[in-house]
Amino acid sequence: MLKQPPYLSTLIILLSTSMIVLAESPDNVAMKIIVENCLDCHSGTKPKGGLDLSTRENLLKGGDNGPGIEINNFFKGQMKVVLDESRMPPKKPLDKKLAAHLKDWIKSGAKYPTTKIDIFSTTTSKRAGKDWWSLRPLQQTSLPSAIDNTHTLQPLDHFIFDDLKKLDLKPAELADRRTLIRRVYLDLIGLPPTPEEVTKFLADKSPDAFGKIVDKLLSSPSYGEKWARHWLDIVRYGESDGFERNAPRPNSWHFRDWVIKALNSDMPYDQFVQMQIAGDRIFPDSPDSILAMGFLVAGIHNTVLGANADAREQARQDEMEDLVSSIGQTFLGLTINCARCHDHKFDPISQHDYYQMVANLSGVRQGERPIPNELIVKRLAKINERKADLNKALADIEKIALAKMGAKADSIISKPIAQWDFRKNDKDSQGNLTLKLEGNAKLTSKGLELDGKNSAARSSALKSDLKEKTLEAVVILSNLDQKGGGVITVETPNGTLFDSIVFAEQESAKWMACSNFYQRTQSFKGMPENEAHLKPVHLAITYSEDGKITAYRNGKIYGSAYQSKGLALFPANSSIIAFGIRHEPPSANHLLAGTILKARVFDKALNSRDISKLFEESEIFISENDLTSNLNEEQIKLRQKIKEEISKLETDEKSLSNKKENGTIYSAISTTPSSTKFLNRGQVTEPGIEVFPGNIPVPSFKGNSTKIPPTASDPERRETLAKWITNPANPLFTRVIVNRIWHYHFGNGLVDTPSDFGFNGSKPTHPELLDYLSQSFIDSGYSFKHLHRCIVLSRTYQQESKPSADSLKKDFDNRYLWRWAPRRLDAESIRDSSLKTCGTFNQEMNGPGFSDYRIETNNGTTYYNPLDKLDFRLSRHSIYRFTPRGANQGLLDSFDCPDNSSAAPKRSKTTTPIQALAFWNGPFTQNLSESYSKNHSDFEALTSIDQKINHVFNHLLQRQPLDTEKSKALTLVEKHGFAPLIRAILNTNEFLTLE
Amino acid sequence: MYDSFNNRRSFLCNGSQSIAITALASLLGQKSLANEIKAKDNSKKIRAKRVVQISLVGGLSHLDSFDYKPELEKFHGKKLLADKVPDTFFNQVGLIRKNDWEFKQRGNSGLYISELFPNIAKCADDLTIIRSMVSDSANHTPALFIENSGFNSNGFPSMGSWISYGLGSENANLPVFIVLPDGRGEPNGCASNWSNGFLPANHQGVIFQSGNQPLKNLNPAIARSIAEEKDSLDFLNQLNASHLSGFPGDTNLAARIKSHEMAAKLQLSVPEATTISNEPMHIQNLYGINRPETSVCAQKCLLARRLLERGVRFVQIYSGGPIAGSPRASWDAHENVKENHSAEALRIDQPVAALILDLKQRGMLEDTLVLFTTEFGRTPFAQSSSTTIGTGRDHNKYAFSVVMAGAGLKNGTTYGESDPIGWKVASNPVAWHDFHATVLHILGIDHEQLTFYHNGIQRRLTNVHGNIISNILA
Repeated sequence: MLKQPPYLSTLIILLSTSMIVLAESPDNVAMKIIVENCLDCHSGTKPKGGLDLSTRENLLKGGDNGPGIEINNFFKGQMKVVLDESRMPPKKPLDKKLAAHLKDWIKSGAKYPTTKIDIFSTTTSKRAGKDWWSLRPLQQTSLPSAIDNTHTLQPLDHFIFDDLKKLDLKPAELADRRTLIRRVYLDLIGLPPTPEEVTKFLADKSPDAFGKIVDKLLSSPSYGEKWARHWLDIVRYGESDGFERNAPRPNSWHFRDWVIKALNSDMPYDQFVQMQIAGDRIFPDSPDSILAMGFLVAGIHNTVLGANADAREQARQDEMEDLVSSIGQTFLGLTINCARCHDHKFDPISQHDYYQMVANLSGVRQGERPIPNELIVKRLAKINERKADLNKALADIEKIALAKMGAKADSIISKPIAQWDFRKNDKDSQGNLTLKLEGNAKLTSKGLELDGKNSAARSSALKSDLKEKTLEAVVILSNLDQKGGGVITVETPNGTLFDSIVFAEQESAKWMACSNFYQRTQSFKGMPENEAHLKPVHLAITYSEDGKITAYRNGKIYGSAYQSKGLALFPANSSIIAFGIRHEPPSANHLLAGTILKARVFDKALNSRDISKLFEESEIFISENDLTSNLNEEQIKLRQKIKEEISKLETDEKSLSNKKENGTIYSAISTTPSSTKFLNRGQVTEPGIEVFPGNIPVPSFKGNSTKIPPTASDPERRETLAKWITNPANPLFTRVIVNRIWHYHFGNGLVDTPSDFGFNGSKPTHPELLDYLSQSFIDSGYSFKHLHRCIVLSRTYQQESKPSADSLKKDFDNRYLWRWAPRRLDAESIRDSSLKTCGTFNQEMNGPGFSDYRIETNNGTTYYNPLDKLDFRLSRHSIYRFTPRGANQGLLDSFDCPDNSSAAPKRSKTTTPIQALAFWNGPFTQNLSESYSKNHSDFEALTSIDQKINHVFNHLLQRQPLDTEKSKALTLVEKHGFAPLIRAILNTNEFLTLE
Repeated sequence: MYDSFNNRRSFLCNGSQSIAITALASLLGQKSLANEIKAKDNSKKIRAKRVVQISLVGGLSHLDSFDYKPELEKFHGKKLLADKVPDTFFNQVGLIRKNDWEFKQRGNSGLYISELFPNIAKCADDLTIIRSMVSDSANHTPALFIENSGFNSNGFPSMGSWISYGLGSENANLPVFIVLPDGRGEPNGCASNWSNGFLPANHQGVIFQSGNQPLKNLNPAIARSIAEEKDSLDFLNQLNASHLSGFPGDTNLAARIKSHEMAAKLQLSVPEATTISNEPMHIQNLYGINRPETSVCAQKCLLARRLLERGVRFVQIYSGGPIAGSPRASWDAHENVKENHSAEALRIDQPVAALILDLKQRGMLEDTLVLFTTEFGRTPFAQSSSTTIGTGRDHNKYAFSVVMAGAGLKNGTTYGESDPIGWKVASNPVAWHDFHATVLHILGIDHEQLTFYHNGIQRRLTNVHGNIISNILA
């Protein structure tokens, strides 16, 4: 923070920043003074006292107390009076010098820039402006010179050593090799090396011995397991919903596995981010997209909403804040979420910017999505390809007949048995059925209007039996909250036998094929309806001879088809077609509120091609007989052959389809974005203007000019957002991630607030280094492994951790990296290292996690209590540990493993007696100590106690015991056995510390 | 900006070795932040040094306990006349129901308290009743979270954690913030209710269970002989000491060595503090230890007093476990207020009253703050069909009562009013933020100054709200 008085700091900022929008003319200094001291109150939609100081025009116009200045006599206005009387700002009136400057400015004509000024224009002592350091483009810097006799310096060492020299700090010596190998193992893979790995490294005298270790670790699968934990901390990944019910999310682990895989394959960071925000759109062919998008819905989710509409909207807005917060902080280091209720108090982010971000994401919903089985998906794709070819061949043949008949090529080869266009009349133009409107049902130019309370329409009896069939209707619903109304129904007069297209009966807002006693009804597992109240939707359900029932919505398959037990036969002369009613009798929950535009009934199950033609409003129907009579023998035969192959392919498709899903994954569901309103004071009860998608204006970065059309779909919105975020010219994108990687290697970031690069965050200790590494990261193609190598192979990283009294005095926190600051391992590394060194580490990778909780449910709420048990199933790497929210995590809790209810970009490191008790007395350590000898197959074979003590030291601490240690260990072991020795060493600072 | 006022503790401890001792103490939670601040600013009045909160889970009916509404009797069986159908959780708005317990004026102060709590009523002259509480949620878990942390979702530090962060410990041999759950289980939201949120883990509420191991991991999971325990610890200490000699001046490493010493002390102090049987019989009887119906809560209240006596800052006692279930194990009287509240009140009335009396007779009430709270109240109309007077009441976030006693308060008084039937607040509404601000104020902490940087914001227990209720302060 700048310590100078505001005036001085204003001038300093002004003079020291060349790229700043305003230059240092007296007029511009005046603007700075106004921005810093006045605009917080005197700008925006409701300026205090009606006085707006953001333009000259408004200053002239003035406020409640009269004009701010008067055009002919600049000294007569309110501003001069207020300055003379030192009245503003109210709590701390303006410094005399600044007031004098403003008065001079008024005297010289009160000149404003041509564009409106605002509180974001420039950084002041109270807040960041658009010229804030992190928003500026990456600076090209040349390497400062630095030399070291003991080690080849990496570029980053030049920056560090240069600063150390300036501060008169001396870099520490290189760490010894045993320390170094332990450090890099724990840092990169979260596990210590085996005694053999240490021995091998100590013996390797080649100059690149350390480099080889680093390469080996970076290509080890454990690397992804260790670093995925960091990412999951940042993105608030948790495996239960939180809030009241806190239900577990058993299918969310796919996201965790995807992160591990992506890191291990060194996926470029820009792609890594794009997949998480908009994988479905940017990488539509990758089956991993769905997994990656688990990011969007990793946060808490309130599932108990009650009946109140405002409360429901409030919950949705809270969710949007979680998502905007996560996107802003994770990828940009911006706390956009702070602008939900008002303009950001410290950073140049307006409340409008916040709602633009909400609009970008308002189509994202939580849900379960099928996981594609890659092999089967490929085979299905092949089948579809072949089917498309065959269908084309079929269409080519049919075209010949159609041409002869003078019909259009998109005619449908089937004739409806009944057809209505209610927008015109109630006449069945195909089967001459008569229709009777009952109750309040009425025909208007919109169609058949049904009020859902007392209206339906019923036809005269069908003239022939109906079994195989297609029901089709175009409908617009009055609302989406209604339940159980039928759109079009075939039924016997008393309703004992019926098939109907029904809205929201068993599943709210979903379409289904209802039938008497659900005989032919199953869930289509389609998406909940979200627009049928806004515009008409086209619906069709086909009932095939073999019992297969398929639904289509707007020409596309709705959910998935299912096999029923068999079709019902609706007898001629008694069955009827009905509209607006699920089945007789007409009780309220059978009735539909909406308008039916048109409807048809076919006595065939149309195929998907025909349904899509119907959706596209093709209205020409040709009967099968008419068609074949216009084809020659050969054509008929060929047509038959093609049809048989299609039918065979469809059978294959059906059997494969049943296997195509590997279960489901908890991930983001893409829905039609709802309209986003600017909410005054963030209150759902005070909606304002509609806000459209857009990005945060970062002035240095042209990428923000990308416009998203208001009509853009959800995936399009997310695509634009993802591409804006990952644009190489976006300075925040790379600075933030490079700083995170640095933070995890050294325990402190160059910026000490890894998810906040705004005014409230800390400033970088080494800004040039941060930009240098960011550029290098971009040049490497966003390679994490490149960045790790840059850092780990540096002289700075390889310093020893022994402190020097002098340096401690100057830089206690080691912010300038004069040594390797020892730090306690994180909770998971402590657990994993203990398991590994004690010989009981289960290396099984991926898949559903293990749960070390006792999980109990009580009336819909789930409770998680730590399970103090240790068996091999639970001895896997901690990344596979089930992580519900708001749970007591036992041992890991005491070592600061965060509750993932909110993001944890930086973990705290506490030391408490409760922690000591947990690790000293708790069942985890106790059990490991007892089973050490059993778990190491070579242990019992050792003949002397001496050798056995060496074994323990070598495994746990990766070194031989000192003589004094050995003699003490001997005494302990002789009296009490090996368990206390292992228990004590696990608890040593040496075991728990990354030195 | 972050650099200069991140979390104030690290600011105060940063940068020079001379403060290393402070840092060490601070790392272990011995030294408090507020003491350091207070060292500079003695103007802040410290009214209380410690807090005990009895937290009633499920929603106590204010209409049947602390908020006397004679009009209810008049309107009994009538329909509530309102512009809108009242928004309740279950949407079953029955007819207005009169209070099920008789109210009487008590003590010299003449406070109205019902027969639901006959023993607590005897303490009337020591009580301060707020009758105008409002909450943001009428849904149990979010409402509990708001009561405890000021926010309606998981992840925010509870009041006890903030107090631990602000005041630190007066007895390094016991945790600063101790939670005594209802014997029937933990409330919904479990550990989130006493979570340290983003504050360092040493500020988490520590659960003391009944039984022979009140504190988890107090004793080795596998029994060890005294000799083995001692030899093992000695060995650990020797290894750590020789390791530390390589890191002169490293406070983190020294702190962990110290943490083992403190753990050893905990092993002695916890059994000492929790052995209730050491109390004289007349004290045990005062609390109702030997009555089966009050025994569970009596043990917790007596334990709370012993803990407070030994310097624990904040003890939270829960009355009520998981909210749903049948029969209910909480105050959530949807079905039958008379039955439910009778049973629940019987469990706690005598023990809570005894706690107040006992604190008073020891002179501790002068610097101990007693809080008797619930997440929301209940509706004046029954939860039943619109034409009947059902026996249960639904949730009411628009008006409810909490009770305070002890240090810094005007005793025998009430604050705020609900409307004539107790459906909504009529005057002086008190939000939880105001309640929290007042509690911190009584402890000598300025709620606007007790902050911790988290993800871009200097977080407070009171978010951006909070008005101190100065009218209830002595």
